[in-house]
Formats: sequence, C-alpha cells, structure tokens
Amino acid sequence: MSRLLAASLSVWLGLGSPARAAEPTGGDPGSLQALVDDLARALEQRAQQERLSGAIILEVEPARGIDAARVERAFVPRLKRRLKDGGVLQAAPEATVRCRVTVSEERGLVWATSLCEGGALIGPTAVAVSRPVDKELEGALGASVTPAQTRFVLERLGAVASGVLDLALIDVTGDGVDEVAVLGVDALRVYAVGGNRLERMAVQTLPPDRRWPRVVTGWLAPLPGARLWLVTSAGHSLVWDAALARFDAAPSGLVPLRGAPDPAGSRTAASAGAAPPAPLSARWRLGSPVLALPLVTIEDTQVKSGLPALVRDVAAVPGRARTWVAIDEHGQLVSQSGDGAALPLSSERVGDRVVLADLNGDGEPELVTSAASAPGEPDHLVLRRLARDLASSSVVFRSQLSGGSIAAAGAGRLEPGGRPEVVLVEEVGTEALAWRLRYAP
Amino acid sequence: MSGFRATVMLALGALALGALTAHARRLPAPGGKVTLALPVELVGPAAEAHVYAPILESVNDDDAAERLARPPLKGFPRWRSSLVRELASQDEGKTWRVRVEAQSVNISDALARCLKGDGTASWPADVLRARGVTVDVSATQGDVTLRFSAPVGPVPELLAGCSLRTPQMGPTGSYSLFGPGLLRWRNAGLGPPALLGSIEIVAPGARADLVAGGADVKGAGTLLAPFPDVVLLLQSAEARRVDVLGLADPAFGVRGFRQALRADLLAAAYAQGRGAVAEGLLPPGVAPARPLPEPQGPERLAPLALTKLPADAPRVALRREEGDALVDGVVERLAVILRNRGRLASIERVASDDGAGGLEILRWRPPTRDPALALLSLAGRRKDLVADPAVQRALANPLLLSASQDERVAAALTLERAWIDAGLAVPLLTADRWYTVDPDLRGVVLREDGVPLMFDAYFAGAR
Repeated sequence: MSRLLAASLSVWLGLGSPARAAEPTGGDPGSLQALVDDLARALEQRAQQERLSGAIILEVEPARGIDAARVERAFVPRLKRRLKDGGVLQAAPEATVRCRVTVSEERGLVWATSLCEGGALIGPTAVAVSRPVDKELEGALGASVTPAQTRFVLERLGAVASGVLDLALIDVTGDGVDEVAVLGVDALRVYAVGGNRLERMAVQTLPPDRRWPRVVTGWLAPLPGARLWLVTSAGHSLVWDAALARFDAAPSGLVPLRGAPDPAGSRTAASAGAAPPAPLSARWRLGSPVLALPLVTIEDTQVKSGLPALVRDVAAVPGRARTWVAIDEHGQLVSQSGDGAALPLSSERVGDRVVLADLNGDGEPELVTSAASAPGEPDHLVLRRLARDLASSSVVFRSQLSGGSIAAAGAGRLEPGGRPEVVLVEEVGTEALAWRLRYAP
Repeated sequence: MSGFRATVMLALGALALGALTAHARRLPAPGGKVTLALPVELVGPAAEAHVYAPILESVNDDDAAERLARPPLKGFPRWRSSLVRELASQDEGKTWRVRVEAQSVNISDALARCLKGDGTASWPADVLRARGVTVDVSATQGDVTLRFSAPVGPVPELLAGCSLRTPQMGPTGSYSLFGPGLLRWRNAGLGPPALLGSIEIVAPGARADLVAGGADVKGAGTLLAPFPDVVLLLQSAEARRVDVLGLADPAFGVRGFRQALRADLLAAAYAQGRGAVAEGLLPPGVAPARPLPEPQGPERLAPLALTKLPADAPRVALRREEGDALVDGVVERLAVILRNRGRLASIERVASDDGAGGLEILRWRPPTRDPALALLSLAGRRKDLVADPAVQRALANPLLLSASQDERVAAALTLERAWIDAGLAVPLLTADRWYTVDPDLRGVVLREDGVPLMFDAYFAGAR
C-alpha cells in the first residue's frame, strides 16, 4: 500500500519514469512521437534528395534546456524505431554517413536539428524540426520554457545587526514563505520580510563559552522541522529549534553545507513533500574558512565526489545527480560531475560562498557569488549563467551594493508561490544592510 | 435566514474588496524625460526607431491586456501593426498584398526604399540581394502590392526591419527630433502615443537613466539583449590559402587556436564577463543548438612562444572597426598568436573595400532572430563571404526564404556550416549587449538588433 502511495506521489511530482508517465493514450501519437516523426520524415526526404539510403551512424545529443537522461530514454529509441520502420535510413554502429542530432529548447519550442555528412554527400546537410513545448514534451524531455529577456533587480531590505557571519532562508512560521535567519557573532536572529522591509522575529544569544580565532566566520543551514544548524569558527556547533526557541548540541567537527542537501534525504523529502533535507557536511579546520572533504552525511557516511580536497563552499546542481559547483581553497569557482575532474567555471576568483538557485524559472540554476576584491575595495555581487555542460559560465548581473563587503548570501522564497530570490547581507562600516536580488521581467 | 444574511454580507465584502483592488492598481502616468547613454553606433538607430513609425512590431506575449488592446495581424500571431491591417500572400509567396490603414503611397515608397535599399542601408534589402531576389512595389487605394522575382516566405520578418520613412516625409513616429540628441513627444505620430515626454541621447560616460554597457550601479537593473553579438574572424582567400592562423595545422588546429585565444579572459577583461567562446556563427537565441564541427588539435596547448621576430618577417593585415575595446582586445591577442606562428600583424582600420587581403575582426549583431535572414543579411553586404563554391551552393537554396521556419533554419544551418568549413568566417566569441537601467524606469523593450525602444517606458517612482 505504501509502495503504491509512493509510486502515485512520485508520478504526481513528476519523479517517476517521465516518458512513460507522459505517454498519451488513444489515437493521438502525442507530441514527442510527432517530433520524432517530423525529424525522421525530414531526414528521409533529405536522404532521397541527396540519393542516400541505408545505414547511418546516428548520434543524439541533448543541449540547452533538455534533460540528457530523458533524451536517451524517451527520444533515441523512438527515433531509431521510426527510421527502421520508414525503411530509408537505419541507425547502425558503422556506416560512412554520420548524422548528428541535437535536441534543445529555445523560446518555447523544442528543436531537433540534424547535420549529416560523409559518404556520397557533397557537403554537410542540415534538417531542423520544431514543436511547441507542451506538458508531454516537458515531462518526456525535461524541456521548460526559457524567458526571452532577463532582468535582475537588487533592492534594499533594511538594516540587520552588524557582525554577520552567515544567513539562511527558512520557513519557521509554516506559512509557505521563508524568513531570513542571520547568524551573527553574538546571536542568531530571525527576520520576517514584509514588502521591502525586515521585521525582527526572534533573537537567541550564542553561549559565551567560546573564544574567537583570528578568522571569524560561521555556517548556517536549515534542518527538517524548522530547525537550524549553526557552526562557528569559535567552535560552536548547535541546533536551534524555532518552536522551542533553544539551542541543542550538534555534531562537532563538521560544517553544514547549506547548498548541498543530502541526495538520499532530498529524495525522501521531495517525495514526501516535506521540509528541506539535512545538508551534507565537510570537516571543519580550526580557525580556517577552508573546509576539508570528503562530503559526509549527517550520519557521518561519506559521499563520493571528485571535488578538490579543500574547498570554501560546495553546492549541488539541482536536478543533476552527483554534480557540484564548488569554490576551491584558492577562490577558484569549479564544477564537477560524476567521477570527472573539477573544471574551472570562471577565470575570476570569487568570495567564500556560492548560492545556486533558479531565479528566472528557466529550469537552469543561476549562480551567485561575491567577487574577491583587494582589501579596502568594495565587494561585487556577481550573478552568472552556467553553460549547460557546466564547463563555463557567463556574467549576467554584477553590482557593488553600497560599497561594503558581502558577508552572507542565501536563497529562498520571500513571496507565496513566487520565484526563488537571493538575500544578501553587506557590512558597511558599523552597519549591516540586507538586500534582495530578484528576477523582475 | 441567518445563512442568507451571511451570504449577502460575504458578497458585499467581496465587492468592496474588488473595488479596493481596482483602485489600488497604479497605471503609469505619461510625461517625464529619460536620458539614454548610447555608443555612437547606436545613436542613429535609436533616434530613427523613435522618429519613424515601425511598419510591423513584434507582439509581447507577456501582457494579456496589451494583446487584447492591440491584437496581432490575422494569420501572423507574432506581429502587429499600427499601419498594416492585413497581410496576404499569393502565387506561392511571389506576391504579397499589404492592406494598409492610410497613406498607402507613403507606405509603398517606404517599403520600396527598405526592400530595395535605395539610398539607404537596409538589412531586408541585403537579404533579398544575397538571394538575387528583386521586388516591385506598387500602390493602389488602401493596398500595397509586393511582387518578388522568387517566392519569399518570411515577409513579416522582413517588414519588421522597415519603418515609415521616405525622403519627402517628416517624422511619423511618436517623437520628433528637437535638437542634437533630443527627441520630443509629438501627438501626430502614427500608432498609440508613447508615455515619456522627451528622450535625450547622451554620450557614454554621462549620467543617464539607461546606459549601454554601463558599469554596475548600486540598485540599478540590468537589461540583457535577447541574444549576444558574435565576434567573427573573416579570412581573405590568401590568408586561408597560407593558413596564417594554423587552423588546418594538426599540431594547432581550431582547438589549439581557441585555447590560445582565451575567449573567457577576453570577455572578463573587456565585457565584464558577459561573453563566452562562440562555436557557431549564429549566437544562442538566434539559432537552436545544433551539431557543429568538432574542433581538431591538441588537448592541451603548450604556452605560446613570445620570441621577437625580425622586422622583415612576413606580415598579415589585421583589420577592425575602431572604438570597440573588446575587438581591440581580440586583435591584440590575435597579434600574439600570429607572432607565435612567425608572422607580424599590421593593425589597420577597416576600409571600404571589403575584399582586401589579410584578416578582419567583425563584431556582428544579427539584425533579426531569424537565422536564415540573419545570415543572408551578412551575405548581402559582404561579397567576400560568398567566394566559395560550397557557400554559393548553400546560398542558392530557395529554402532560405521558405515560409516554413523549420526549413529556413535547416537551410541556415547548412549555410553556416559551409562558411565555417570554408574558413571564410571563424567564430571567436559571443558578447552580450546589456544596459544598466534606473530601477524606476519600467517598460523598456530591446529590439532584436539591440536598440532600446522607449514607447512603453515610464517611471514608476517619483522623479
């Protein structure tokens, strides 16, 4: 019974076998099959024009806005079958003609473009077909509509107590809107965001039993059940329970990585529709902002990754298994997937923390960092768009805020049903200012 | 009874709430002055875009109210117009009838000027020229007829590149030119009047509400053009024959060249990081993702040797338009790569004879999102780019002007590939076009060629 319920939930949440869940019934072949038919027909027509027939090497590559695993599962077998049934061209492991197909989403259309070359062809020849993104293509290929124009706006939220170490967005009131939890040198403070201003909701003073080293820093991460895990370079490791308004002891020696939820936990949480899962952790190094890997779960189980041994922060790329963005010990922004090597994402060095969130709702996360700047110079907030292959990034938005230093950043939802936004805290002289960065088309 | 009373009270409450909500909606008030800081090459197009009424405008999908108030043209949901009532093709696209609202003679003159390129630079004329298509434009009462020498499918896309402008007519748009760089609102414009009272165009560096490629300002919004520019390297026949950049050299190749170029560093240094390596001639946002040539060459390039060359070493002319920091940065880097391959670079200005030898760096912005029309517009104004049999074969494909978007895209991809394979045009990097915008300035629309349009713009806050 519970398996049945889980399966239903999984299909409802779009987590089940997407191709199968989206498959239409009745006489309508469905938009995925129609896309495949259109492409096969275009290839066959072109083959006849070019007097080509028989075996071809067929390579299909997913691109912008398309999920690779779903293309492999739902698109490729259909295309091979359709070509075989058509009798003009047939996919084979060896042939003189090679046809490469790229599937992508562009401005509300799923495109399949193919370029064939080799054999008796005079030169490379292309075909292209498109269909509007609908629910079926969304489910079968992971296509989502990307906005045409991009506009990001930075707005000031108000002042918070100075001495900020980190922040996290967490729904402590259970109203579906996140509050801003700010970890300071002296206390944990929670603020509600009303319109464009902050209202203080709770203050919990840190136990004064620790001495701060030269590097004063901290980490904050939400836990299931409206709780927060905080760690400081002074050696605090505490869990704050919003309902009980008290601190409890947490595992020592570990630092929670807010942007890297436990993959096992995130599956459980997503299927149950529950609060965010517990974060993965790294080892704390005394008095240093640099953390030691491997990643470990809250139960102290190691999670394999190809990330550098020493990092400043790690975030998991949403929707992609074992794919990470990290800041290495030297401030280099890198990406890493599966067992592959870490690849530099930008030539520019960045600050200590990274935030990954899909701010414009295009299905691809944006990456927010601060740019490392020389002492005495203001920090820059930098918002980057990641290349689909995670081998590079390009800057979309950059701002100096008020000319201070960016102390903390986190992502969450500040409006009911709204897009994720980024909240930042900037230390300027003796005051700390909170800002919100949002997509405003 | 009490249930009935409760229902009535609820209904009244809902009415009151509805009324309150309606009153709370704040619509933009007309008036105000906006200042635009634009580079020299955008001043003319931006002023013209506001002074002369567009023949066709693209429909903004986001605003339902606007869509209802100014509906799209029947049969062409992507386009609407204040001048054209109806568009219809006959004779498989060889003849198009344009039913107009008024002033059909003026529109006929404006279309003839735009589609033939008579006395003015016009990308729709470049497109037709590249395909060898001629057009005859005639007017009758309320109708303009376009007769092409071959079928032309994407006529609405071409008309979107035209405006109501003839040598005899004054301003036809929402603004008139009042002084150098100053546009004032006029009430005789065709189409719905713009909201802002005046537009001042100033030089880059001056304080403005909208700054092209502006530095990051606290609290400002950033508006990105719908697609980036592409920086292309155009090679003369001689440069290709000698392979001055080693693109065909197995020890260097396109892969080695890209590593040596360091597009990411160039974008970081000269375009605030808003750029990336370009693998195709058509930028993302214009063409869909497609299979592109796999670059050959070493996986990891050895550091470039920077040995000094004798003064009599062979020289390669490296031409570019002046005044673009990114292009200058690319040129400097190319000079280093050339030196590494035993050649000195002579950096020169682009001359009018586009058939000159050597290499040229071109920062190209497709004038339209249609990939076939974009490439044809480039082919129409650069004769040197069609000097290759494979390119000529691809250009001869009538599907470049097909009515089917899919067929046009396929034909464009074949043409793009022919250009790349011939080495006539080498994609170097993409560079986004961005504007920093006052956070109170709303409703700015970027035209496909990157020109900011202020017709719907207004200031949301107190000024």
